[in-house]
Amino acid sequence: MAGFLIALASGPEAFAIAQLCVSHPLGQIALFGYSLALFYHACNGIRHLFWDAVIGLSIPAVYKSGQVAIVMALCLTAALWSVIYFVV
Amino acid sequence: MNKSRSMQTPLAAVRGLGSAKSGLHHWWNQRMTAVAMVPLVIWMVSLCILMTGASYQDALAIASHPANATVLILFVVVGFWHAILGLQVILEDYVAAEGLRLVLIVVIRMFAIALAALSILSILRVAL
Repeated sequence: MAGFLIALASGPEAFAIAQLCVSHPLGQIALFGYSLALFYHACNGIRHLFWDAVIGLSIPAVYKSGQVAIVMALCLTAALWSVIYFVV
Repeated sequence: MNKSRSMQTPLAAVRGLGSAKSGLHHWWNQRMTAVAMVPLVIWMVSLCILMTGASYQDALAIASHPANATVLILFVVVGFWHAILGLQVILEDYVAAEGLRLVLIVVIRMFAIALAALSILSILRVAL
């Protein structure tokens, strides 16, 4: 992301190279992986924030929220890439 | 602590600097940056969708909008801050050698701050 911002600020030539990198299949795979990691980290992070607020600390609730975090991360990633490939 | 002579309450002792010498500060900053990251990430993901396949002029227009530029700067500051805190905890937990642990924490912190400064400079250059 920092690289993309730097490229945008550096001018059209640098921006074209950055666009080439992120649109290349390898770049797309990297971005897909990054988005999955980001969404999983966000969902599980929110789960931790609930724990910090003393919510959902029973063992069944912990297992349940863990499953919800994984499913949510997968759904958000699928939704993002569906929008990118089929809507935009 | 001598209970019979001290006027300090147990609560004050807990709120003060514990054995780690930094009290709750690190932990609390990590939670607060986490909370702030939730709306920032939603905005950033939306920006990424908007930027998909954008021309140089379109991308400039999106990034230079005051609201977007503000969120970009906040995302960089809060994101790198959150990353520094999180990576520090990982290093403290998993690197046993004290010297190496300190060096890694400092190097990561400096690298993150440099990258954040470069990112903010780029955002300002585009936005102003």
